[in-house]
Amino acid sequence: MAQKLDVSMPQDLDLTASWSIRVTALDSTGNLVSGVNVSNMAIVADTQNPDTADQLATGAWFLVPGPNA
Amino acid sequence: MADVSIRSTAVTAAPMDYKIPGAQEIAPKSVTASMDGTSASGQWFPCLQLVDPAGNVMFSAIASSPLAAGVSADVSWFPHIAPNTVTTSSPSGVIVEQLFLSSLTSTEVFSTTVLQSGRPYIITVQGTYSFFNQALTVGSPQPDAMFPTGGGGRVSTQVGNDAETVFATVPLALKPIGHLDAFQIDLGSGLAHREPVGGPYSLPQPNYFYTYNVTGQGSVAGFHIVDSPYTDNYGELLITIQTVGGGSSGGGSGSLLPDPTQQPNGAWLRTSSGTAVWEATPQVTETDMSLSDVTTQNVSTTKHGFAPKAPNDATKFLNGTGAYSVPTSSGGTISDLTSTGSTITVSSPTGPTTNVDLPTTGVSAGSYGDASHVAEITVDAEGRITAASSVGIAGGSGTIGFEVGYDQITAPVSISSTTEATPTTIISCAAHTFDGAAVLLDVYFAAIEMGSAASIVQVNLLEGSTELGVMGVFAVSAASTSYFFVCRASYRFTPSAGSHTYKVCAFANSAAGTQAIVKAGSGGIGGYLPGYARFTKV
Repeated sequence: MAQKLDVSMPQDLDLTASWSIRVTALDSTGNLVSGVNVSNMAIVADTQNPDTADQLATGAWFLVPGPNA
Repeated sequence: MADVSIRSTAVTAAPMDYKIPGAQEIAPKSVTASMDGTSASGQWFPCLQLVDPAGNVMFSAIASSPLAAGVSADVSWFPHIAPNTVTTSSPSGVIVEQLFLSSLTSTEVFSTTVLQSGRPYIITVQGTYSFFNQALTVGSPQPDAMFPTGGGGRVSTQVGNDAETVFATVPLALKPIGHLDAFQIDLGSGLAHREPVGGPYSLPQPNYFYTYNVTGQGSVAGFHIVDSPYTDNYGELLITIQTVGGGSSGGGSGSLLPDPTQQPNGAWLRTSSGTAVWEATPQVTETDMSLSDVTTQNVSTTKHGFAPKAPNDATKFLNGTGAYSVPTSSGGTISDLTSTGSTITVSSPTGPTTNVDLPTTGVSAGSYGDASHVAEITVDAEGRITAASSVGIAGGSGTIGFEVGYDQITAPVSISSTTEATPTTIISCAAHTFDGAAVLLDVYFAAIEMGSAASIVQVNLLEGSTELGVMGVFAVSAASTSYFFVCRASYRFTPSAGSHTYKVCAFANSAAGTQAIVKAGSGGIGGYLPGYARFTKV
């Protein structure tokens, strides 16, 4: 069982097309550490464009409408 | 604004990117991910990055403390929270091994590292675990183990123990809140609970982290948690074995190596009196190398390498194929040897014949000895002639009666000269070498026939064109060819040492008619004997 870990991130981000959110594993010098697998990546976000659902139907990503959607 | 959850079903090696598609525009509020570090190559930091369309990383939200290799985490990124860090206060030194001790393991767990006898080591232990598969209602439990263990059927993941304390438990537990001595270390002389630095503790220390100073006993280290039963336990302890000393700022992920930044390229890490140090100019000693019975790294026709082990056979030599063999006896070619001092030089021979230059011995090149001299030489131990000269033969040229020179004529000579200054040469002697001693000159003619007009004939001795004197005078009262005289004249004198050329000459008072003549021949019946001039030692 994995331990729980909370990390602070910047607020008030407003991201548009072609920007990327990346989850990775680095060493103390900023280099990628091999052998770490990432799964269950999820982003909770406010949508600024109501027509985004179609835009997410690609690859392994999908959108789940939230309670305020 | 509508909240949405953007999720991925993929499992990929880090990094995992979500690239915002099309016309989508979002304001992220949080990001979560499960990060499996079971196979991580080293310590690692969970990190969230924002990457612009050009691929530039705009920020990195990174955990403040690393996770050890093998540790997994469910990571959440939120604004406005303080990080829940997993920090350690690792002492300085060089990590030699890390291992986990599961609270489910009833037997002793050993390191693979042998702790050298008498050397100090530091063992650090971090983690939380539980003795029970139930909620811990006494004390202040943690919701989950720092290093969880697998297995299903858990009623609760709460933990209340670390290596030194019980901080949460169940009612009426045998091990109450306070100090716990269930964790044991075996350095080779048996399992025993040891108190950590600053201990014993009755309250958990920050990050559930404890340090033990131990001394190696030439054995692997063993670790054990005392409990019964084990099947209801949960969580494991991370145990780190490291040497004493060294910095904590070494290169590489989470390295505790001594600081290499001030070392030149090529420096080696070496232990010195139990401490890890950088050696700027490494010296490889024989004891650093294990060369016993090396075969795979021996020299061959395709690579450099070690010399093959000596065959213990004095007749064999290492040949050009990398093997030992006995040289063939069919000879060979020696070329371009250089001479220095007393050694032999072979100068670029092109065939079986070699040019051997011997060193000079100081003897002048030349012929030594002749008919009257012998060569006197000195020979050294190597058989070389180191001195040579010509010396007179005893009983030869130095003996009275030794014939220095002999010259003869076997044909008659007419005396055509009438002038003493330019007489007729009768015998022209060869050049003879005299040693400066006195000699006797004998001159003999079988006959001198007077001429029809010559009534006086004078015989002189000359050296070159210089007359040395009159050797004889023959005169008759009236000229007639009927007069004959035998000439036998002698002269004792001392020529200077060296070569001299003498002449016996004659002239008459007249050369008219039949000239006066010196008779000489080869002898025989009625024949004149040769006339001669002879020099002998006196």
